[in-house]
Amino acid sequence: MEATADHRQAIFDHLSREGLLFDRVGSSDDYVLSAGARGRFIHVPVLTIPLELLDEYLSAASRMYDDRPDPALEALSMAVMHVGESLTSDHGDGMNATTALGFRRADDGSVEFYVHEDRLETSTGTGGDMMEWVADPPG
Amino acid sequence: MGSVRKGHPRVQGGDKVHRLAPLLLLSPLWNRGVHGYRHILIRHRADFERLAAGTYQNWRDIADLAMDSITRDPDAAKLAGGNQSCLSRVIFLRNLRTNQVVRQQIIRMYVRNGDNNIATVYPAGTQCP
Repeated sequence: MEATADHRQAIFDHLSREGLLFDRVGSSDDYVLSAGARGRFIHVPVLTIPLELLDEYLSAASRMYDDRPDPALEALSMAVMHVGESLTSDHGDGMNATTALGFRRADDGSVEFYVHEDRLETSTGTGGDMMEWVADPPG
Repeated sequence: MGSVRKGHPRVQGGDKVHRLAPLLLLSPLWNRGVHGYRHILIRHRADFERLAAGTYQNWRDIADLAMDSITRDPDAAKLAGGNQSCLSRVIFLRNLRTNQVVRQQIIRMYVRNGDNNIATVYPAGTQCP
């Protein structure tokens, strides 16, 4: 799998469908969540995607899917999903607590996907009564 | 985005038999691309434990409830690009004394197209776009 901007663009295309637009910080590999998309965020997350590291990550990840018709597509799909879920998770009160995420060189020399969060303590507000999660509202 | 074929999603990975499917033990290296039960355990257990507070349910009860109900009747089911589909729906927190709904929560589930293996399940702020 070649390092191409298309892989990075696939991530941003997915985030764009979520209404999550990012602005590049200068000519760096850092992207900051745009001002208009910060309503569901406690912090302003920074997404870091160096192309060469993304390529290396996808190449390594694709080897996990050797039994699939298109291992490269599987790896890219999973990477896109991991970034997306990190930024659309509800960490309490409908807010996302991600501060930074992206792809970086790990201590063992491999490339890893990382997510940093800083969550707030939230109250369950049950008022002392026992509660139960159900699939459908009581009739 | 088109519609998504309904089926019987499965979770991969884990340490015991899951209600939806037998589980396979996978490496917990979610940051290297691992998905399924181990990914949910590592990345979203705390999210579901937060939902479990004040109930008699544990995090897996709620994750199971979400996966089962999403599979049966999703509020949204969209192709998510690549080889994934996104399904989501609302679940409800019921006060057992008053029988009133006191809270709602959207849960999203991503499944791999073709074999419907579950890649992840998590509480989300919005339905699948």
